[in-house]
Amino acid sequence: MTTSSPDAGRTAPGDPEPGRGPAQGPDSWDLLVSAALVGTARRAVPDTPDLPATAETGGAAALLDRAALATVRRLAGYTPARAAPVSPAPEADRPEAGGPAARRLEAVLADRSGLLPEWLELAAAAGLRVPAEHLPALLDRGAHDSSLRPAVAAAAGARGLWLAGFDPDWSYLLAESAPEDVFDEQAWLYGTEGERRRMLGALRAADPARGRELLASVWPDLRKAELRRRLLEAMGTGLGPDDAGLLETALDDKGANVRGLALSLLTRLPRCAHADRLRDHVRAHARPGPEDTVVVTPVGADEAGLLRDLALARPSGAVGRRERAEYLWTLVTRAPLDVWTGLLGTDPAGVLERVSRSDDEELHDALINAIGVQEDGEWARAALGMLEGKVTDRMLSAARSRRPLQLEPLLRVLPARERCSLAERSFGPRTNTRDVRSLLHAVPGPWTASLAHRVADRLGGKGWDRDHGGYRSVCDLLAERTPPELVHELPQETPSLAAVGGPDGTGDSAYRSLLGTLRFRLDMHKELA
Amino acid sequence: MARRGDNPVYPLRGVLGRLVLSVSPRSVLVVSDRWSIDDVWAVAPDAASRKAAVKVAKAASWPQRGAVAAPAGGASAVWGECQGSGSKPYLAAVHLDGGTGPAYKCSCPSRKIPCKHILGLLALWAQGEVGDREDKPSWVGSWLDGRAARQARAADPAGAAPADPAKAAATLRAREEAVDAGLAELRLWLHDQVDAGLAEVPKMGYDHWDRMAKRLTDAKARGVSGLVSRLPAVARQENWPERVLEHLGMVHLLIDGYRAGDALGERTRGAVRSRVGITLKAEEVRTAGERVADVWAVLGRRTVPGAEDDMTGLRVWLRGTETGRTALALSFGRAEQAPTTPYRLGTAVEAELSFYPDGHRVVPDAGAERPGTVPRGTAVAAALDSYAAVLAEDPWRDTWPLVLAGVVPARDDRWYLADSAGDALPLATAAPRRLLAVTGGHPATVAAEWNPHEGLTPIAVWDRTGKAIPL
Repeated sequence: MTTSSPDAGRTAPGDPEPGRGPAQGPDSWDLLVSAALVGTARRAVPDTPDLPATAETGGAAALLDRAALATVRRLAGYTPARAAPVSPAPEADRPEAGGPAARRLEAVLADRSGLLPEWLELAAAAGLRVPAEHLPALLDRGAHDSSLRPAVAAAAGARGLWLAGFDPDWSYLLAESAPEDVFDEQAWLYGTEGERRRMLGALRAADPARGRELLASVWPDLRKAELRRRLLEAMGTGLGPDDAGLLETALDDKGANVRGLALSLLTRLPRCAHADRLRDHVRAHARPGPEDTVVVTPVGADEAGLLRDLALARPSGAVGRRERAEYLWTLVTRAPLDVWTGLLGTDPAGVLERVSRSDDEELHDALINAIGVQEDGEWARAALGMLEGKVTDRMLSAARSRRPLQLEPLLRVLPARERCSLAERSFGPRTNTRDVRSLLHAVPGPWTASLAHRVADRLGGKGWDRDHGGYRSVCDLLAERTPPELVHELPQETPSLAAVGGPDGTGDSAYRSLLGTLRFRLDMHKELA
Repeated sequence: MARRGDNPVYPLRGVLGRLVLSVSPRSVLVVSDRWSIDDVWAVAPDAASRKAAVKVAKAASWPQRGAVAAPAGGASAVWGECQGSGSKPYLAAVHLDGGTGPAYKCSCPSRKIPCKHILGLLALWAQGEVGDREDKPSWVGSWLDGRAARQARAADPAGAAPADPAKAAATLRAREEAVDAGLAELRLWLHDQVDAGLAEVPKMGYDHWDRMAKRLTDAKARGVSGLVSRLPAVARQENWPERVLEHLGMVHLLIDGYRAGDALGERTRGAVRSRVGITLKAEEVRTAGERVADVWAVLGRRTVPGAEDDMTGLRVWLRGTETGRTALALSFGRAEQAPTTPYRLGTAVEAELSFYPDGHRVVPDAGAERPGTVPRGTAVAAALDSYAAVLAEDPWRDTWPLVLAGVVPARDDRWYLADSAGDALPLATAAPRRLLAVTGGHPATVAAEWNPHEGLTPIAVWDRTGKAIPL
């Protein structure tokens, strides 16, 4: 039961290098191991002058005693290694969200993932960053859910960016733009693809013209289509009419994804030459028809200029009905909506009426889609005005004919107050529960107090006993989209519990969980105010 | 250690028969003042329980509830009847001033301790929704009375002693004789292995080792039995000839140590007996073990697989701020139930702890919680010296806590922690993501378990503000 002194020949076990300790004779460990392999019946126990003497001097017992001595000596004499420290993270740029807000984030990460975007948004708005200890879990979330990445990047701060360099799963963060990014020429010239993307984004936010010139100067030399697409994405920041030239170049790109992105960006520039050409294409294919209708002529496969302007591939074979429909859909979606009012000499509502009268569902749906894509409030109002009071009827008929009703994109274009008030007028106590649920799904948050009360009233109404799933679903929407301070104004007992019931009181627990979520969100808002 | 049931879990004698008693010293709140809501969540076994508890914490769900006033003011117990989905309410109660931390009882079938009903009830109480009541249902009264009686027995050493000391001594003697015989047989067996040579070891089937391991279990030497059954795994490692010889040598040393008996120092003897498998009950240690009063700083915790497949072990390392003494609090739980501990990272506990004979392991008794400070750490060289000193008393110890001051993560072929002198110890883990996140690569105090074969496993770090963060 003895050990050598701690300083005697520190050696990592199994390390063939002798330690830094005082010089000694040959390490007898290897001799002991080879004797043990052969067996003490056939080989004598080797002498071990570097070890203290053992009571037994021969046979298996002596070998095992000496092996134990050598083992303990190795453990006690462990030699430290040398290794290069990582280069430290830059100083913190923003204060860390602390105390209750940090504990809240922990709870959100543990079991309320749905509220993570809201927490991140509130923290970023308050100028706070994620507590360092939660960064790994947060970066993991971003790795699995790309929709979270911008919010993660904004809240992770400089520490998060530094940390992302240590795990390949987190490299996405290196490409995400964050508000405090500053353009760095070295990183732009020599960085990874992600870093270059991030630097270009930073420059576009500060000086869009210089960003465009920089991208244009390297554009011909960018071999990989994916890199071209990622860098072109940065043009979305600070987009203006002067960018049209570069985007037109990208519209001729070999990569379909690059062309598609260029078209999306060009769609946001209704005052450029590309937009004018699209207007001409519409005028060439649509004209007023008899009895206040619209007549559309199909797009042919030989219209090379039109196909190019719409980033569509030239067809290799015969063009069928499906392709023609796709061409027309793309043209209507991308051409500035004002071409229609000019062409038909009427206002947006007039245009939509004429299209309805023409009995051309494809054209109608494409126009509605265009309103959402081009985010045009006046047109959205016109389209929804046609539905006013009949929204649920329309949904039913759309569902019957299996056509998508683009209610959500239309509502999204309107200011929150306006869309909520419209939604409120679209259902009543007798409206079918399934229609209420689909309608509310289409109304983006935040909801107004008035809409929230209306929804709570409807939860107290009839019909839910045959639609438990709908009840739960509406509760979830209310929990997610209602401003949390309304929790005190909503009924504290489950509306229409008697009617709901359900297996194990489904309705009751859904409503309670709604109140619980609102309270949770209310605390979250207070902590990050 | 969470203990289940003076009553079996599922007898079919109605609700009262299903009452499950559990004692969990996880919280060290021995004071009976009303808890804050944070105190309540601190005793939750996991986040899911907390979430479930929020739903239960509604006054409307607890038509009957009350607090039992303590003689010295505050509350002695809180109880309530929770109207769940079933026809019978769940009966939940918490004993607050029991002396070893709160004890919980609930008639629900959940295996979590405390369950969501207990947590929900405490949350209501913390929010002032449970008032003092003179009367209490009989199930509360009988439970509290039973606990009081058990505590009285435990407090009286004479009461805790076995009914017949002579019989107990005879049992121990018989056990030691069995162990003696088992170890003698093992010693011969080891010699046979080494005489024959170890070259064939990797080719031997499990039977070869399991037969010996089983004989040792029969001889009541479970600890050594475990060491023998680990041999096949050792023989699969890289450098297996060295690893197997090390292992056999250390087992041989353990046998000779056991046979040396009283010739050994007290701590070494304690370490040998526990490693052989002669265990002591916590009560015996409380009665006869060395007691050290100190303010024990919590260095960190690590969950490890238990000796049996469905067991989970929890190691919590403490360090006395006055004595500098290192203490190890072990607790175990069945797989579906996390082991609990009264010690929370970031705090220190003022308590007189009872040490097992090995001089390190303690009975995890609760004490008065104090705010923690950053523990005093050392450079790598001094930390290795402390481990060497421990090996001198207990050469089999392969896990020891190091508190390293001013270390930074370093990377070479693998990850390391390096001190300001440039001395580095390898990490047993992959990229230390949380440690990197918290320190940003700047020097910090880190507590880690050291295993010279595997490397460091960081268990806690103290950030720039002095806050302790578990790793």
